Amino acid sequence: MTCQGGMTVTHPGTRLRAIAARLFDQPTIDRLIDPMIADLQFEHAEALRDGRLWRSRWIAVTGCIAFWKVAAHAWVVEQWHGTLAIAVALSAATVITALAILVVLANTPATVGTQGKMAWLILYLLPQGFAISLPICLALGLFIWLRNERADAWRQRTALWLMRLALLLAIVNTGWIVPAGNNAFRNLVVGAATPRGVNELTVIELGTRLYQGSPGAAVDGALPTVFWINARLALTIAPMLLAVLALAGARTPRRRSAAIVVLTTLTVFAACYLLYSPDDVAVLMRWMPAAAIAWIPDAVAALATISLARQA
Amino acid sequence: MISVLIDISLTLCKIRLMSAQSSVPTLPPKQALILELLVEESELYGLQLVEASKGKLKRGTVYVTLGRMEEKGFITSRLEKAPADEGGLPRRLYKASAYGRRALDAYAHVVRHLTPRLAR
Repeated sequence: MTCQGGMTVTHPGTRLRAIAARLFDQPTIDRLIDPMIADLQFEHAEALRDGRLWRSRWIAVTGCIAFWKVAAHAWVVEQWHGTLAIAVALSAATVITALAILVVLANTPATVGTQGKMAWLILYLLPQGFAISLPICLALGLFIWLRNERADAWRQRTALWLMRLALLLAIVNTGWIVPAGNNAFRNLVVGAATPRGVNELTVIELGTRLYQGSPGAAVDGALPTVFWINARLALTIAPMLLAVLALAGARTPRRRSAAIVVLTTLTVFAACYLLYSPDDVAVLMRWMPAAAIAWIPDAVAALATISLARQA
Repeated sequence: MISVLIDISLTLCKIRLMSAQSSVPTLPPKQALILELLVEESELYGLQLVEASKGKLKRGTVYVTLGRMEEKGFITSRLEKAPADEGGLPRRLYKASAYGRRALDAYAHVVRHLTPRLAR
């Protein structure tokens, strides 16, 4: 920004450079961003000097596009591990969400009401798939990113913000969006409005039911409420728990064994949610309390984290 | 048995040589074009390179290519003084290094003698 004749002139690219300063390190800015913005500012000033206002505006627009191209390239090159982490995490999220949806659809009877409405069924099941894939993709992404990078203040801050964001998403998703999706799914399958079961209750309604009724009592003729609310809570804090596992794995000097522990734990975690059936839980309830069964995937993750932390 | 062992060891030697060869610097066509322009004009800004290339270089990619070439040592750069009256950032001027000129000569030689069709 400069002052000319009492007027404040903002050079194009000033804001873009401020964005770049937050995204890239100084050598990248010196080598790629600054030369581009300096040329843009020169060309813009030249057009203004010649009185070509529209030309100057056009230069600002094309310069902005060029900046984002350079920034995207610099991001891929400079933050190669970050890009790889995002790609792997998104791929894992897609696969796990698809599997979660397929598992439910495979057990859903094809009725007249659902014919031609597969897209809606999948849409209603997306939150459920997302609830399982979110903690896994976050942990996988953080692990790949941080095991190959220096843990500087910026990366630590970013990891912490990602964990907070994932926790917030998980609270909203498992607390309210998943039950709403489940309810819509059930209504579509049955073809009419049905009374809401335990999986269709929000977390607050579930808690109210737990304290008003008998927590050990079976709901919907299957598992007790105490299991369902604990399962919901376990899935809600899973992003935080698995992220801590990833951070512990990333800081472990034995890289190969850390990778094996993290990947195995994530696989076990996914399998617990994708492959379990209420019958399996009912069998386990002969040996342990229902509430404890719901926390098994989280307990596995916690144990793996402790073992990695001890190695580090 | 011995012949198999010899065969395997020769293959391994070849692979090792191949990996050593991959460290030889390469000169992609865009980098060769930039070097040609810089040799002709001595010193140029990124934007001038885009204009001089007549559409072959884009402003969204030229700085990335220039950065890469500087890392390889093909070119050097210096910052111009910031324009005092207008403010704004100082511009960066690029120049072909002696190594870059040699690389361009070698590239031109290869194009001329080994790929006659391209040279025409």
